Amino acid sequence: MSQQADELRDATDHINDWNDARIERELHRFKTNTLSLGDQPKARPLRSKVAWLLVPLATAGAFSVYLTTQHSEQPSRTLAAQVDQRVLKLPDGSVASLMGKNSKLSLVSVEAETVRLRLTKGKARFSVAPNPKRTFSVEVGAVTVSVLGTEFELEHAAEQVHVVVLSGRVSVASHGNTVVLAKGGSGWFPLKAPTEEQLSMAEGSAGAPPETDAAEVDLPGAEPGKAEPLAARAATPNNRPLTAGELIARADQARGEGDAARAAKYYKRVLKNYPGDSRVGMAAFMLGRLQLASLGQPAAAARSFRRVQKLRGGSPLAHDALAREIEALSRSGNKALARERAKAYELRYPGGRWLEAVKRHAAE
Amino acid sequence: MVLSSRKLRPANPVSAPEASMTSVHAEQEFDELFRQYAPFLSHLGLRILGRDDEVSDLVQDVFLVLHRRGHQLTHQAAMRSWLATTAIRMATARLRRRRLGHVFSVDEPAAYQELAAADASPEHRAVLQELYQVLDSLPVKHRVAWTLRYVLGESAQRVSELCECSLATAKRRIEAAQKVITKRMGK
Repeated sequence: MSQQADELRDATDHINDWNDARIERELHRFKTNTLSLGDQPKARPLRSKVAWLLVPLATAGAFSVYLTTQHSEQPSRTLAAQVDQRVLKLPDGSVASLMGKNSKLSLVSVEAETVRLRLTKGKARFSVAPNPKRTFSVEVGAVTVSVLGTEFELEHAAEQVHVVVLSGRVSVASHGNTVVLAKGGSGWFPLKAPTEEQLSMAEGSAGAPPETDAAEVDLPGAEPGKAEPLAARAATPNNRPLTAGELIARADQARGEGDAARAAKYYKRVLKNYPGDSRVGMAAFMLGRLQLASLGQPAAAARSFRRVQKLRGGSPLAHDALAREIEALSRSGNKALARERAKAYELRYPGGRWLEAVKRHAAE
Repeated sequence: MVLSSRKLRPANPVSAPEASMTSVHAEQEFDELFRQYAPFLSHLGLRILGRDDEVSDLVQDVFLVLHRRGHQLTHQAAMRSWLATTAIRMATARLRRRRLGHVFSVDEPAAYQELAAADASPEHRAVLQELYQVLDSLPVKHRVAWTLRYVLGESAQRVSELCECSLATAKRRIEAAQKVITKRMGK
C-alpha cells in the first residue's frame, strides 16, 4: 500500500488549485448572485444528527445530563449513547455545543425562569435564545456566566475561565465581582480568588488611586462606563496582549457605540502590532474612514488610505482607498497632490465607479 | 456563588451614518472572509468532488449560508471548522446526486485528467483519472472518509469529526474504501 499511497499522494498534489485571479472571479460571481436576491435557491438547511433532548420546562428539582466528547467505556444513561454526543438542544431553541476533545458539560436544572449548566472540562459554545423572563447561566467552577439571549464561548483552561462573546452581552460573576462583556469582548477569569499580592500589584500598575471601594480599572473589552474590577484584571495572565481579531472586534464595538476615537486607537494598534496580518488592509481602510468622516483628520486619513494601497495593491479595496485618498487630500487642502492622484486614478481605473467623484474632488 | 440577575442594558442605537459605515464595513469584511477561506474550501472541494465546476458551486453555496448567518463566527478556529464541516456535508449531498445520475444515465462521465495542474506529468493525469473513477464507484460516505484521510491527510479522529460519525465508523469506511482502491489500482 505505501508505494501506492505515495503515488496517489503525488498525483493529488498536482491537482490544479485555484489561484488569486480565480478567487476574485468567484467572489465577483458570488456578489453578483447575492445581490440579485430572489433568484437564488434557498440554502438547504443544514442537517445534523443532533438528538433532541426533550426536557419539560416545568420540571422541578435538579437532574443531570452529561455530554462528553470522550468515548465512554460504559453505556451512559444520557446522550453518550447517541450518534452525536456533542450538541445539547433545549426546547426554547438554545443550543450548547461541545468543542474540542475532552469537554464535559452537565445540565444542572431546567425551569421556567432559569436554566443552569455546568462546564466541568474543556470548551463549549452557547447560542442562547433571547428570553427576558428566563436567566440562562453556565457555571465553570467559581465563575458564572449569565445571559438573556446571546452567543458566547467558554473555555475551562487550567486555573482560569476564558469567556468570548460572539453576539449580545453576558454578565460574568467571579468572586463577588460582576463584569458585563459585550459582543467582541472577552476576558480571563480566575477560578480561585486572587491573592492580596495580586490585587496590590494590579492596583499599583493602574496608577491613580481607586475612587471606589471596588478599585475599578478601565480596561478594553469591558462595557464602556462599566470598568473591569481589579480582581478580573489581576486574572489576565501576564497581561496577555490582545490579538488582531480582538482589537478589530473592539474597534467595531467602539464604532457601533459612536466612539470614533477609541475605535481609531484599536485600528492603529492592529497596524502597529500586526503588520503582517491579512486584515491590516481593512483596518487601515476603516481607520482612514474614521479619520476623514468622524475625527476631522483628513491629512491623516489620506496617509491611511495610501497605506491601504501599498498593502493591497490591485485589489478592489485599493481602488476604493485611492478614491478616498483623493477626497481626503482635497479636504486637507493639498490640491496639487489631489489632482496628481486623480490622474493616477483615471489611468488605473478609466471606467471606475468613483471617477466622477474623483474628478469633482480634484477640481475643488 | 450567587448568580447575577442584573438586567443587561439594551444595545446602544446606531446612527444612520454609522449604519451605512457598518454595512459597507460588513460587505468589505465579508469580501475579506471570502478571499481568506475560498482557497481552503476549493482545495477541499476539488479533492472530494474531483470536478471544478461543482467545486465552484460548492464554494458559492457554503458562502451563501455563511452570508445569511451574518458570518457571526468571528473566532478563526471556529470559522474554519464550520466551513469544513458544512462543505463536506454539501459535497456529500452532491456526490449522492451524482451517483443517482449515474444510475439513470443522466450524468456525463468526467474527464478527471482535467483536474491536473499544467505541470502535471502524463502519469499524474492517468493516476488522477483512474483514482477518481474508482472513487466514483464507492459508496459516497466511504469515498469522502477515504479522501479526507489519504488525500487531505486528516487523522482518523478528525475524519470522524468532519464526517459527523464515530471514530469506529470513520475507520471502517476508510478501510472499506482502501480495500477497493488497493484492489483496483494495485499493481
